[in-house]
Amino acid sequence: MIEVENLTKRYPGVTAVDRLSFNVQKGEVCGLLGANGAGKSTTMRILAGYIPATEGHASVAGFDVFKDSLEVRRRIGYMPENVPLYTEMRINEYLEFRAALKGVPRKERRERIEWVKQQCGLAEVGKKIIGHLSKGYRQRVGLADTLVHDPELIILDEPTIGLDPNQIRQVRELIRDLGKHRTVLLSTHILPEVEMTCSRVIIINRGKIVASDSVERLKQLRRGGGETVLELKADAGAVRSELAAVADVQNVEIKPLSGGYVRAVVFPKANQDLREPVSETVRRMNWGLRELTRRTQTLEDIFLQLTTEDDE
Amino acid sequence: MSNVWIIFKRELMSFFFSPIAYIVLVGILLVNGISCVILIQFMNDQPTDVSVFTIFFNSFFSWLALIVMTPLITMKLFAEEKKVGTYESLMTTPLKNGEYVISKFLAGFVFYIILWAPTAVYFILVSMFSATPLDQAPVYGGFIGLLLIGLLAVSMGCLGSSMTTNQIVAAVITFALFGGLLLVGFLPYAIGGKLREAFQYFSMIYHMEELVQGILDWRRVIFYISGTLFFLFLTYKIVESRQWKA
Repeated sequence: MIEVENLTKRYPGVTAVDRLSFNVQKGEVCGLLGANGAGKSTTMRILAGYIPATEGHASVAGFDVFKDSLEVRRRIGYMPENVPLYTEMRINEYLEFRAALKGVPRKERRERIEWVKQQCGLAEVGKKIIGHLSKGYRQRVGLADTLVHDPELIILDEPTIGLDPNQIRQVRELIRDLGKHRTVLLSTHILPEVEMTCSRVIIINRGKIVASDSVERLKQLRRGGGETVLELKADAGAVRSELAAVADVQNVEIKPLSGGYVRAVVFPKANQDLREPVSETVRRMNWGLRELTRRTQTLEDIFLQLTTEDDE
Repeated sequence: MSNVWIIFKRELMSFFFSPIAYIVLVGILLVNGISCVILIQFMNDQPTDVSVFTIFFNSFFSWLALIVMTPLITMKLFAEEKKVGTYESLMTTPLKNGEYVISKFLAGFVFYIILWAPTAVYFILVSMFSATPLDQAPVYGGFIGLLLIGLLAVSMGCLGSSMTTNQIVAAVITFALFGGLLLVGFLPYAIGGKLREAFQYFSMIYHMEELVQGILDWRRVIFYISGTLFFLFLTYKIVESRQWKA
């Protein structure tokens, strides 16, 4: 659906996007992840045909975003960052205006608008003036607008920014639903968002791709993690020697806690799951156990690793 | 072309939601009303054989209304959308740059007509109460002049507004363009010879003087139309420049 090849955007003195190449298949929900200023918005603006790239090619549904900009724009629903809207219009008027502009035939317009309002939880508030809406509702109007012409590709720039936790959950659910039938490209700097909504993630740092894979694969690929953490009522020296003797253990770190407890972190040699052998040792030694858990690496850890690794 | 209609409709409607539009509307009514009353009073005291409207359309008041009010109505056309960001959401729909410029221009021009339309009432009132039948030529000439000047002024406004995201800057640019042309229009009255004739081509005051005498010179029409196209072309280029490769 999206093909990007060596995409570069230079502003005087800054390279916002640096030789970016990636593909997004039909039906994928793909997340562009990066810190503020990493080049996410610029990439999306180029894909939406708003600004041209300095170098490289990008195509959407087989159309070049520069040469066939109009054809591309017919096929996408794009929601810019901060969701600009005409505040003096009513929701119904705005959606009618946008649907007409995006070429929804007059006969189908009412039906489409009713449908998107239903989808975005706007069914009851169609007569409200956009300027009087809360941020969450404005976001929904923006989403409804991107859907109104039933586009093949939906591009959302920071769809949950500025929302309260409840609204964030609703928007995420909506995006996940959308992803069942459509291709979605969304950008964010909130990591759990990607984990919850996306099937694939592209991590961008300073205009360059540092990783591009499924969320699961990314977690597996990165080394480290998988250590087992215990909190025990036992003697620190005994804990260290006993746990170090367990098979596949690389290293044990001990930290004394109050009340006679110690906290032990057991690192495996190669990402093995040590919970069972460790718990056997604990049972054999008859130590008091109040916690045993295996750390899995979160996307946050991966993101931090990837985006700080090449900082000099 | 249906896109032009869609944008035009929204744009024209949005005028009526902005407080500035009402201030301008009232301002123009006030200035023109005062102008009309003063003129009629003056002519009551000192009857001349010149029609009221010969003077009305070329009076200090009507130029004041034009030069102050036009920048105020055109300043928001492009600048506001650029500032708020709706420009981005519009330009990522299948809307052509040309359609966008034309529909903005038309909305501005139609609002300009709405601003001036109430002055037609003066004409009706005066003809109702005047003892002798009113000379119609100055009235038609005057309104044709207003339309032609409006085309040019609104196109200048489009250019000013498209150059910036700040509405005040947009108004000042438009004011400078229109005011500059108006000032050049005084030159034919100050210089003689061949130059005088040359400056008559650019003199809105001179054109108005001709029109209110019932003279419609096609060279003047061509001047305003081509000027309008010129400024719209520049506006189009500015809108298009978003897609230029650096």
